[in-house]
Amino acid sequence: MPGVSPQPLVELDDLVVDYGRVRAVDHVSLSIRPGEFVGLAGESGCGKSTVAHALLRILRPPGEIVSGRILFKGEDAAALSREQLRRFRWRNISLVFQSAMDSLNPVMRVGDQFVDMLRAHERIDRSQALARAGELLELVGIDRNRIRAYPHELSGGMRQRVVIAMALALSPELIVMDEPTTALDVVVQREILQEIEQLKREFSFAVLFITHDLSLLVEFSDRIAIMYAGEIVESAPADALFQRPEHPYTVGLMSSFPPLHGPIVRLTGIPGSPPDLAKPPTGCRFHPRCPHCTPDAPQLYARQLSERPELRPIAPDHLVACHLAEERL
Amino acid sequence: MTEFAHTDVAVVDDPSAGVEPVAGAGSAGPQRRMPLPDFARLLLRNPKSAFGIAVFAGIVLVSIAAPLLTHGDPTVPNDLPGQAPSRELPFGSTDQGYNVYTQVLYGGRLSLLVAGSATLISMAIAITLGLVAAYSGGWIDDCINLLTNIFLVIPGLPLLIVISAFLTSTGPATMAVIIGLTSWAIETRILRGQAMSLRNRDFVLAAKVAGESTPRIVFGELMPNMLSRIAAGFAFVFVQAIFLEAALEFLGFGDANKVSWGTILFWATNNSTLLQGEWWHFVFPGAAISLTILAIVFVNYGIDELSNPRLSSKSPRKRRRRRMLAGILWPRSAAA
Amino acid sequence: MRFILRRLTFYGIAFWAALTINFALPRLMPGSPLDGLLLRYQDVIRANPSILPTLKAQLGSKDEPVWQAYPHYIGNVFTGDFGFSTAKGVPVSDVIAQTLPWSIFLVGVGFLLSFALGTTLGMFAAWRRGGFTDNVLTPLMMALQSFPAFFLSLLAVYFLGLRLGWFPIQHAYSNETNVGLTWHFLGDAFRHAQLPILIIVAISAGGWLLGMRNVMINTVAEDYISLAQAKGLRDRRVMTRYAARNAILPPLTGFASFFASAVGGLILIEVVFSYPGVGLTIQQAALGHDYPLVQALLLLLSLCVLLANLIMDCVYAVLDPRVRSG
Repeated sequence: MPGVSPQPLVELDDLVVDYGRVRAVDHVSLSIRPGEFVGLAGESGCGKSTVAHALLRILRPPGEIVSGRILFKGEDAAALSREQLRRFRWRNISLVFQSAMDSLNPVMRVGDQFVDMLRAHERIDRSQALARAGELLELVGIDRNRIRAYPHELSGGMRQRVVIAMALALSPELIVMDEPTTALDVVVQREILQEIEQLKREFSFAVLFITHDLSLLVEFSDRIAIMYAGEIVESAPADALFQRPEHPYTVGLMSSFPPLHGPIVRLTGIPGSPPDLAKPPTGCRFHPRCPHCTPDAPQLYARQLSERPELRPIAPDHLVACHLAEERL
Repeated sequence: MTEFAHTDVAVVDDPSAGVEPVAGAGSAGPQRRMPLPDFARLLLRNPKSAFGIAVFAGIVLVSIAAPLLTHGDPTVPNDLPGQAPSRELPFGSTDQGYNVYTQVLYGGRLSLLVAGSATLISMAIAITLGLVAAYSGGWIDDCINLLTNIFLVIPGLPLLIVISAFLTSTGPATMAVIIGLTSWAIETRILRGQAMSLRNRDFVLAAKVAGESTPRIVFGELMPNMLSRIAAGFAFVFVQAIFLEAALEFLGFGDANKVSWGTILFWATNNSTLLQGEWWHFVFPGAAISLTILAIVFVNYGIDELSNPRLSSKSPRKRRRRRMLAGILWPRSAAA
Repeated sequence: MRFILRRLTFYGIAFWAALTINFALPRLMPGSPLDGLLLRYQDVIRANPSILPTLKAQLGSKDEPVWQAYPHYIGNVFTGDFGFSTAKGVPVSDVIAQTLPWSIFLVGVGFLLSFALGTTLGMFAAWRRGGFTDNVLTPLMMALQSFPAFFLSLLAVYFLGLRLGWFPIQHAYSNETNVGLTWHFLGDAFRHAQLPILIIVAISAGGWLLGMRNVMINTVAEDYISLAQAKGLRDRRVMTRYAARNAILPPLTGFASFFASAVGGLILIEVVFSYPGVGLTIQQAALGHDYPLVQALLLLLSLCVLLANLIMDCVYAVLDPRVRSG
């Protein structure tokens, strides 16, 4: 990538998040460089949203960061005081939620929800803040008069745009987008994604895009990490991942949706369902669903059942946690 | 909310309105039956409801065993009048010479009996109206719903007072009937809501297709699936009934010659023993009423936690087990 | 606006139902309430013969068939003729004018205080689960709730009033105080209202607390709360403007049944404190078989509950924009 500095913007270092006795995020390391578009994909329940919440330190009890560090420009976010943390949120990292339907306060006018946020970070009077809100709305293609609307008066797509406009307001260096288009229909989805891409070019923020739908990441991401059962199982530059997916789970995810171009193929998907994180499978967590895990290869089979694969590089910047990939090396 | 915690979200509870059927519990399968024994076991395992059940059982037992626990006759004044509590007179005596201890023990029998009968009447109405309304739908539902809403806004105690004023005498039986006839509205509304959520389940539809009659479906298919909520309803109405019965008697609308907790209180204030400093005359019967209500309130508290796992701060694993109970909504506890 | 109109229609029907219940009750009762009344209060009726037709319409008599009496009765009510209090020997409307303000004063202040206290505590209890409010105050208020109003009042009269002498224990003002808009009278009236209001707050704040707490525990888990926190808002603002502001709505819908039962509590409290409001009056009238007054007061109390609910509906519509437009 041209113009990408070597110093990462955000670095998750061996992050572990527990919900009571359940380990939702299990030793995850991930770095995001300034201006980079990183995709984080996996089925629901794999802990990818927890990563987003941990980044902004808005986990709810009983969720807590058990170990690991979150570095922002090399500084540990855990060391921030309450007030520093409050200021850090949104100014440095903002968030777009899964369902815009639920992420706006239903009893507050859209404009006031901007005012609230602007005034938590800047000395600005109400009328100025409202004017800013109007400008931001126009930026995402919404009439500025809509600042007077209540969330229920807007369509799903408009609400999601409002939230995106809100995320842009303080020009943060990173915007975390947690399934931002899931609740929308396909056409609106596309529109919004293109809009994000355009805004990103204009304002050059980094994006951590969390989704269960790998197909959304094809066009836009620089790098993609795949999460399964609380851990990252594969991480690679986007084109490398699409051309040569290594982990059987990645392969499965890619075959669960039709390719945009090329010949029609049969959709296979992944058999079985994600594991219960309270009782994760032994060995490789994917082994109960893995098509390559059979007693036919006894030695490999024993390892798959008992030993957890480590995330290892198989090519520059391409990491995989899979016994198969190791054997192949 | 993380996607992770979503698995724990069972009920979007709204305790005050307490009307909406539970949508979230649908994932638990089409026939989410909660048999009564299981429900009772869970209630006993919850410390709050277990405490409530134990206290209530104690009160009932003491009332039944009154002749064994005291020798006097509650209707005969054969003690020194106006005695403070002592070893011989644990709760003291009234200024007429009645033994307050004996009166409170025996009084419990009548109070519990009247409240219990009123609860039976009230719940019979609530179950019938609520289930029929939910199952029939259409204009029947509209009518029952309107009637319920009207009874919800007509103040209960004044209505009972007016009825008592017109009746020449209000004995225990009459009182049970009029309390039962005026306190069914809240439960009707709740049961209707719950039954509506069950109405389109497979087992009801199957019975319908099989050509079973409406009463059979309502009482044979719907009702057995709501037993736990109905049990909770009994507890709730009982609290109201205990309160209303005592209140009516206290206000002078009961049969003042019968001994019950309410009439003891009536005499306590009527003879202005209060001004003479005879606190024991009203404190003990009042405490008996409050303890009974408190016991049931604790049962409700337990039911509340079982039906809405978020309310208790327990570990996720325990919560998951409790999701089974998601269907039981509890509206608001306590009367008064 | 559609919402308010719909509610208004319902209240209209409910009021009509209350009227009809009032009309039907004496006619359903065994014996003849009218004969009893005529016998008991012969002197009063002889002195005011003009009240007899209204009495007949209210209580039912052989001279007037139901289909004539019913429109007659309803007509009377809508022209403001609620009848004549046979025990007090004055028109019912006079009695109401004297007693209603006291009750509204007690309930109004008591309601506002308990609502404010209950919801505020409920908010803190839900926001800091397992904190002091949640662990200590919530169970305490719950326990307080299981004391019936009359028992709590008796305890307060005896211990706080008689033993400690902190509060006056009966009536709305001292005998020697002249009624009028003077500071002396207002102060005296307020002193006498303290204990009854305290009781109202004690028995009803717990309900609001629990309602608020239980709803807000669910509200706190909403995405918009997380987003508000992510926006870098101060904790207090997220708690009030985002969580509590939304959580307050469902408890308000439970107001109907709350208020109807609060009226019951009011009667008991007024009786214990000999407070000259509607509650004490309805008890006295019922014990004295002053049927016209009893009937009128039941109607009045129902009307008050309906009005209070209507006001709450308006408040709700102001607070929830979704209801306004829907």
